[in-house]
Order: sequence, then C-alpha cells, then structure tokens
Amino acid sequence: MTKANPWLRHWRDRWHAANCIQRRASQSAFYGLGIYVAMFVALVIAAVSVGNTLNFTEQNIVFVSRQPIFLPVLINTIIISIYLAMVSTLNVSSERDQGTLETLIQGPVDGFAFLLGNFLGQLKVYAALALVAFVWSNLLTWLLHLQYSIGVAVVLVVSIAAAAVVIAFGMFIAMWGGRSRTALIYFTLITLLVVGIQLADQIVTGVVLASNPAVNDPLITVRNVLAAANGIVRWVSPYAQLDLAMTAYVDRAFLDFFAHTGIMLLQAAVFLLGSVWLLERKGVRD
Amino acid sequence: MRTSQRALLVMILILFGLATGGNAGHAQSPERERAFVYATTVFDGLTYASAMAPPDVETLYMIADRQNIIAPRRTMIYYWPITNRFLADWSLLNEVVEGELEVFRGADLVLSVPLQDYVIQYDSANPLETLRIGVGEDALAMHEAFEALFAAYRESLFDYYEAEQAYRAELDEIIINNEPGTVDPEDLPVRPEPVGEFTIKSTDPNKAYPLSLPEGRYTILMRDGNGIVVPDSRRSLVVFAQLQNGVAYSVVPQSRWTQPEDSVYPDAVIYAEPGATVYLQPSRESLFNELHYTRMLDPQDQASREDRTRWVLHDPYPNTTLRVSGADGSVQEAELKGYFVQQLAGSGLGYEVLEFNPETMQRSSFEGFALELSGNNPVYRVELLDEDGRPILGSRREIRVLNIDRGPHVYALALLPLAIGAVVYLARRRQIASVDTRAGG
Repeated sequence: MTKANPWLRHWRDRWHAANCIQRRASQSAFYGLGIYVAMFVALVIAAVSVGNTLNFTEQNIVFVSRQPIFLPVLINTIIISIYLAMVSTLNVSSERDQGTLETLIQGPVDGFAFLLGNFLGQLKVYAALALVAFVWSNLLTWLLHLQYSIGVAVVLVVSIAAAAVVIAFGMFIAMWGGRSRTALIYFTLITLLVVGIQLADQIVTGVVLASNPAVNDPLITVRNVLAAANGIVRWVSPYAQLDLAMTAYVDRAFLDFFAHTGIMLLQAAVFLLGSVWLLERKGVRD
Repeated sequence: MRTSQRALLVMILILFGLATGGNAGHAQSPERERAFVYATTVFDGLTYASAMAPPDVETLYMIADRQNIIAPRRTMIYYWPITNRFLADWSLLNEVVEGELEVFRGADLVLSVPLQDYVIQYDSANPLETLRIGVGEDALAMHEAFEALFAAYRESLFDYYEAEQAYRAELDEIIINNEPGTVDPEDLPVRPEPVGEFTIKSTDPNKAYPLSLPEGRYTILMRDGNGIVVPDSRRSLVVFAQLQNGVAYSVVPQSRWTQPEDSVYPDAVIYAEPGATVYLQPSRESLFNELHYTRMLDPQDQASREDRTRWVLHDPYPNTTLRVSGADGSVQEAELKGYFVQQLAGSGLGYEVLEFNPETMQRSSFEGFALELSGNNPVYRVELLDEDGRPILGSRREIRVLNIDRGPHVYALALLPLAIGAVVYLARRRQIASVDTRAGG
C-alpha cells in the first residue's frame, strides 16, 4: 500500500472539511424560507422595472433596446448577492461570537476550510437562484414576446462571479468587524456607500445635463467629485464590473468582457484570502 | 432731526432705491471687454459648424484628418447669464489676428500655418459626399466657379420665367380667340420645365488658419508678425477620431410623430405596441467620445463626460429602399415617401397623417418608410437596400410587437421562487415525516 503525498493528503482533508461545511451552509439556506422570500422581493423589484418599460412603450408606442432583460437581471443579482453576503457575514461572525468556531478549529477544520466552505455554500445557493432567474427570464421573454438572447444566460453565469465578490467581501467584513452586529453594520454601510456613489453619480449627471450649468456652478464640482469617486468605485464594485461586463458583451468587446470577469474573480480571491488572513491574525475568539 | 422727518427720509430713500432697482432690473446689457478668442469652423461629421472659444476655455477639440479652420480674433466678449456662456459681440470688434499659428506636440513644433483664404462648399442635397473645403488659391478658384454656376443658374431661372410668361400669354390668346372645347390639345403650347432648386452652398472667401491633424493631443499658439506670442493664445488642442460609423433609424410613431425614438445600435430591437403604425427614417451616424464631440461644437459646455460616448445622427440616407421581411416569410420593399400632418378641425387637439400629395399640399411634414405593425405577424426584419438593390451594412433591425397587455403577468412570475420554496418545504416535511415514522416504527 503506497502512502499518499502528505501535502496532497492535507489538501484533500481540507477540501473534505470545506465540502462538509459547504453542504451544511447550503442545505441550511435551501431549507430555510429566507432565500425564497429574498428572491421573490428581487423579482418583484425586477418586475417593477419591466413594468416601467411596458408603460413607457404603451405611452411612447415604441421602445428601442439592445437587452431589455439585463437591467432586471442586474437588480436580481444585486439583491440576492447582498442577502447572501449578509447571511454569510452573520453565519461566520456568529460562529465566532458563540465560540463554536473555536471548537471547529480544534477538530479537523482549519480557518481556510471553514471560510472556503461557507463561501462555496453561499455561492452554490446563488448558482441555484441564478438558474431560477434564468427560467424566470425565459418565461418573461416568452410572455412579453421579447427577443431571445443567449446573452442573458452568459450574464447570469458571469453574475456568479459578482456574487462571489460580495459573499467573500461579507466574510472579510465578518472577520474584520468582530461581533455579528458590528460586522453587519460595517457591511451595510460600505455597501450603501459604494452603491450610493454610483447612484448619486448617475442622478447628479442627469441634473447637470438638464440644468445647463456655468463653469463655476457648485453642481459641476459635486458632479466632478462624484465622477472621480465613481471612477475608483467602478473598479472596486462588483456590480459596476458586472455592468461593464454586460456592456462589453453587447458591444461584442469580448476582451473587455473577460477582463471584467477576471477582475471580479480576482476580487473574490483577494477578499477570501484576506478573510483567511484576518482569521489567522485575529484568532478564533472574539 | 425729528422722528417723523427721519421716517419720511427713510421712506423716500426706500422708494428711490426700489425705483432705481426696478429700472436696473429691466435692462440687461452686460459689460463688454476686449479679448482674444479662437473662432472655429470644424467638421462635425457631416458639414461644418462654427463655435467660439473665449479665453477661459483651455482646450479646443476637432476631428482628426479633416480640414478644420481656426480663426484667432480680437473681439468684445460679455457674459450672458441666461445661457451661462461668454458671447462675442462681433459687430463691435471683429479683427483677425495675423501672424502664424504654431502647433506643438509635446515640446516639438509640428506645424506652422500662415493666414490663408478658405472656402467651404457642398451640395445641400447630399452634403456628406459633396463637402469640399478649398484653401489658398484653390479657395479663390472654387468661389469663382461657384459664382459662375450661380450666375448660370440665375440666367436659366430668368429664361424660365420669360418662357413661362410667353407660355401664359400664348395660352391667354388661345382662350380669348377660341370657343371652349374647340382647340385640339396638341395645338396647345408646351409648358416650360421649371428650373430645379439651386442646392450648391458656398461661403465667401475668408481668412483663417486651416488645420488638418492626425489624432492626438497638441498645443497651439499664435505668433504675431514680430515673432512674439500673442497673449491668451496658448491652448491645448485635442484631435479625436470617430469611433464607429453606422446606420441609425429614427422611429416615428404615427400617434406621436414629434417624439421619435432613435435606434442607433445595429443589434438594438425596436419594440412596438400592437397595431401601431411607425415611420422609419434612416440616417448616417457616427460614434464619438461625448466630451470631445460636445466641446468641439460648444467649447463652454460643462455637462458632457469623457467616459461616455455619443451617437451623432447625420443626414437622411439617400436613394434607398427598405426591405421588410415578416415572420411568415413575406418580403416587401417599401419606398421612402413624404407625409403630411393635417390638424383636425375644431378647438381640441388632434391630427391625422396623410401621404403627401404635391398637387394639394405645400410641403411634406416628414419623410419615412411606413410600417403597419400587425398583431398577427409580430416579428419584422428590416434592411436598407442601395440603388443597386444591395443590403447596406449595419442597416438591419428587428421589430417586435410587444405583448403590452401581459404586464400584470410579469408580477405573477415573481411568485416562481415562492413556488419552488413551497415544493422544497413540502419535500422536506415528507422526508422528516418518513424519518420520524421509521424511528417510531
């Protein structure tokens, strides 16, 4: 009988542990009510956006669009991924709060396996919900007589990368923030800031376009500051990256499409490894 | 001073202030100041457009590899608060600055342009393909040729009016000398053919500094006859290229003919209400950087952004037919037609769109390819064909009739995850129940 390479064995054990945690986390989500309600809320909001498009067409007689389903898909991704990231933040930080993390780490699970398992568990849930979103988008296409596009499937696959970033970021915050409540507050504030800058930039740009401002108009300064902030945020925010990837896809700029997808995967890896590093640095006790 | 006297004095002062303030409020004549400005005449993708860059504007913009005109001038400028712009009062002062216009790339002098004559000419029936700009001797020759053409046109117009008068006189004579119905139509005089519109446009020869540069960032400045740099003349110059060309459609709904929707992307789908009639107006289009293009036409613009692009629609696509393919396999070719918008009688608002009839209508309100979108044939593919019947690249679009009445069903679709959740919940309950049964049994 040959002995397995110790390094390989170590990683196999780690993977086994991570896989067990992943199964536990995903099953807990699937058997709960939360994800279904969250997706229901996401689809209702997406339906409002589709309803607006229909109202516009009814009033304007015509409506021109390259991908009318991309916006609802983006809305769905944002809401679901934020929900899952919050769940993972709470799961991870409460394990630490309650001291169960210390018990786990004493056993066959190390910090990396624990975080990877939780990450993969939430990602598996997102992938399943993306499949539901795909079914929903096809039903919508058939119902409204929209043009069928393989792009929706492609974008839903890429949205898994965006969700991965948000979930990994949630765990990073859980490791950084300490107690569950603090971590949740940090996560909410940072998410609101990032999403808020992007929204504010769009709104102020619209106001500037409508107001015919002078060079010294304070609105121009606000617009320029927001545009500069958004210039940074668009490289940090996975939603901005997903939006850019969607635009690159419809523009057939496939190099850009893969670049933005790659950036999201890199961000997810950085946050995941960052959370492992924080766990090792701060320890398993609160 | 007694209190009553003081109160009276204050009242008089207030009234005086209000009176003078009121007068000042009526007049709006901002103070003019002498300034060095760059007047530009730049190629906008179709024809030439003019703009003025006051001293506050640090950067000028123009399209690459096209002849553009820079005219440094001394004029009187003033701030106009209504549009938030500095404007030039050319009637007070309009002096071309003579010398040499120098163009630098980094620290290297790449071009030194002397003051020259220029003339811009085009045929307004097809500006894009006929636009010409002449510089120096060419400009004078072009203008001379234009003058000769215009003189010939005037001559032919004069001849036409004379022939028309003779025709009418001869006709009157026949009417007077003959009983109605007794003249053979072949004996009637032939009406002279009217002379078409003179569509060639030309500017007068003007003096300025023509520039045609490849894409890049430059610095320009004016050096006067003594070799001294003219104050305020140093500016940055961004020369940019168009990013893409294409065919756009303005989609004019019959019931909202003043509110067209533009389809600028070849892969964009036009969705429409069932039973709607729409008119498609094809035009050439170009894609530019939003900030570069907007500031080229309006150097004082503050709203545009460099991280965005902008499609610019040019002239209507000339000499084309529209091939319409239905989902049922039917193929039709539509001709571009004129339409007249007839206001309905009565005090209420309302109109109908009629096909233009030159006999009874003065001029058409708009032109387009008409499409009646049937609810039974909900997908159409349209494509422009050139004079030889060949499809024009980038002109294909899909038009789909949207199921607008199914809006409420979209909300019902949101119940999908709850339905899945219910299935999972029931399956889980059965699983637990079977485990309990086994444990109990």
